[in-house]
Amino acid sequence: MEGEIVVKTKRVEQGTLLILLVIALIFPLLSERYMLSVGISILIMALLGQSWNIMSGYAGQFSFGHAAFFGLGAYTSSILYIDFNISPWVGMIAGMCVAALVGVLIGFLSFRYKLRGDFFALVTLAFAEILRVLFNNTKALKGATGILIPYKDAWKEFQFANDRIFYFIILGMVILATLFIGVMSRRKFGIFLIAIKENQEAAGSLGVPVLQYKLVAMAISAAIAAMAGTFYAQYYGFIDPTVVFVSSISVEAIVPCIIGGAGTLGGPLLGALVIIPLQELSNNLFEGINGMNMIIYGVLIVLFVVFCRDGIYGTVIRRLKGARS
Amino acid sequence: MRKHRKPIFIVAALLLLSMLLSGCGGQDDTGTIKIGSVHPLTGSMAYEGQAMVNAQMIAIDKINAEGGINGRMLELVVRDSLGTSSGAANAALKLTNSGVVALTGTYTSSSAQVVSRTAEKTKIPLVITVASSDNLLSNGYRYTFRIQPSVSVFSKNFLEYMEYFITPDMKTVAFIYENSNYGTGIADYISSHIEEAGLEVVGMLAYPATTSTLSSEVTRLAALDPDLLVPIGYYSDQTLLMKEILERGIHFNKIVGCANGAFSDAKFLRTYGTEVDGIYDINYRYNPNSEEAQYMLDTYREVYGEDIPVHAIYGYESIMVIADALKRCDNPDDPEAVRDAIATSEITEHVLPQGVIKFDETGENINSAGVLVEIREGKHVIVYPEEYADHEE
Repeated sequence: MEGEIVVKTKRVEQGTLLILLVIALIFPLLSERYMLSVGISILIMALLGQSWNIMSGYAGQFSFGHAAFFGLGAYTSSILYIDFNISPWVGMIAGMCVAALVGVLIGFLSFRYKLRGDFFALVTLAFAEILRVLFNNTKALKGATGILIPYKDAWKEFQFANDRIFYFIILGMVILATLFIGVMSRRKFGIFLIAIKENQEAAGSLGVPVLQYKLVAMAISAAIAAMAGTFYAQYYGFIDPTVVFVSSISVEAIVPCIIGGAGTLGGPLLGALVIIPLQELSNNLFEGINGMNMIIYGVLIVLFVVFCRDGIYGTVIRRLKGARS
Repeated sequence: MRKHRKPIFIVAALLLLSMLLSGCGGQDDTGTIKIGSVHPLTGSMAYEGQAMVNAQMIAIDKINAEGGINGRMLELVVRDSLGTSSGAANAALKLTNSGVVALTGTYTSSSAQVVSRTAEKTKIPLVITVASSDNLLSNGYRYTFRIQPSVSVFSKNFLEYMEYFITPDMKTVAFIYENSNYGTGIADYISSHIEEAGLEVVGMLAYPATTSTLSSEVTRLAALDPDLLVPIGYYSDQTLLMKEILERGIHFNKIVGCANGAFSDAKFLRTYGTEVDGIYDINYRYNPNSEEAQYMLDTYREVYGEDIPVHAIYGYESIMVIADALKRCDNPDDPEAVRDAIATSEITEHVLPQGVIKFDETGENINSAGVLVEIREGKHVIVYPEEYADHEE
């Protein structure tokens, strides 16, 4: 009985991901610049969502400050590129390392003082704000002026005239992140994380090295967010502290997980695939009525939080399990 | 088993369909000529963005009433930038998709950077309405043009116009400015050059534009008591600053704003009346000698029931610049031809307080300039340069 449900859930999961992958692969062939740009927005949100998913969805450490890691990624690669002429590809790796280190630092300080739940979330929020103020007021980090990435069409520069290449790069990043989480969640690592989320004390008493696992989850999560940050800087060509370190970026990491389903593999992907098109669609349909997209966005989040707490994906899985029991 | 998979299938199919539908855009070569407008219409800058679009509409209506572009009507296609980079990029691409031959925008510098890159990639010209960051045109982009004075032009204007308001007994200067690109940019530029004029910088006070109080900043300013105070910021924060100063009854020898969002605004005068007499500001303005400017002012007041905010004047002029180019080019449906026509603009009849509108090879309006405005008896009066000065009736 139990085994059958697990198999079924697994199939649904695989089926969904496969469909999403097929859509994602066919999509750029059918679309021109505008649609590609929308597609890229979806994928950036999906990547941020997956990053948040590891730390908050699986390990249960709620973050309100993913903009910190996103911004660090964007800034590290951009500063290395502009001031030291280091290729953004290398800069991206460097940014991921910086973000992971900062993530571990934030985690260590918080967990060392036994911060949890809402308090931990507030600390992450504070760190993102501190970074924003720091970058805004430090001349060496370009201050409020921000960084302009010059536009040159070359692989080495991580710049392309053809947006399809950008699309496939961000798609590749999302696939990598998703595969990584997929593999991770089936191994000891993922199971330990879920155990920590469910009951930290119980997990600890059974020998799960709680602190160590939480820190590793944070590092991975931060590194993925940083990767999204570098991509963002290269694709849009301009960053400043009010663009990358703001709370709206942190929210962009959380919302796809709420809509799609936190702690599930396909949740953030589905979430992003719902939110951005909905936003664009309402913008297109209600031309002239400004703010309609925001109203729809707000109503949607309220509806999901009230009626569909597990998100689209989570609800389907639960129904599946519930149907049998 | 099949039953359970259905919802996901349906969701996926619907989404795909909706996305494909949203991408459909019409293109017609014989009807109207479309100009795109990307401005923030929601969020904290919605008021400014909407004013910009309003002023653009007045320009569009004027041109259409005069017979359009060789008989063809102009149409403004407006899209909300949401005030974000990704929002602005998507908006600009959506507009290029619906067949616009030129783009205008964007009010904030970060969005302008993104849209100018989009313009470059799609080879559709962009005329920046308002975005003052200095490095905007430093990319070597071919398709981006800017009419408004940049941060460094405003700063240079300030240093140039200083001879009007400076007196020999002034020794010290302090700056209070919002800490983003625009406030910091102007404050840094002026403060690093003002010592040549014999003034000593005694204070540089930065604050975030979203602040809800400037009380401690004002206390510090009062203690510094500079001979010249230079405030730079947006409408709401600078109004807050003046409120604090007036309520505490602190007197500063001379207050001269630079591109100040409040000082040159009509609403500001309605709030404070003659209480703020004697304040100067170097800012955008219309040319008081231009008949067209008078038309713009009157029409805006008539249609929207309020005075045109000064930044929106550049929205109006952006449409005029594009219309002028469209009239001159052989094929107004070809963005490349429109781009070339804009690049060779030489507009003598316009609403701005400057000479000919003409772009250099980077796309910068070579004669762009602000003017020095003084608040006298609760009214804005242009006092410098002489050729644009309001002459009292």
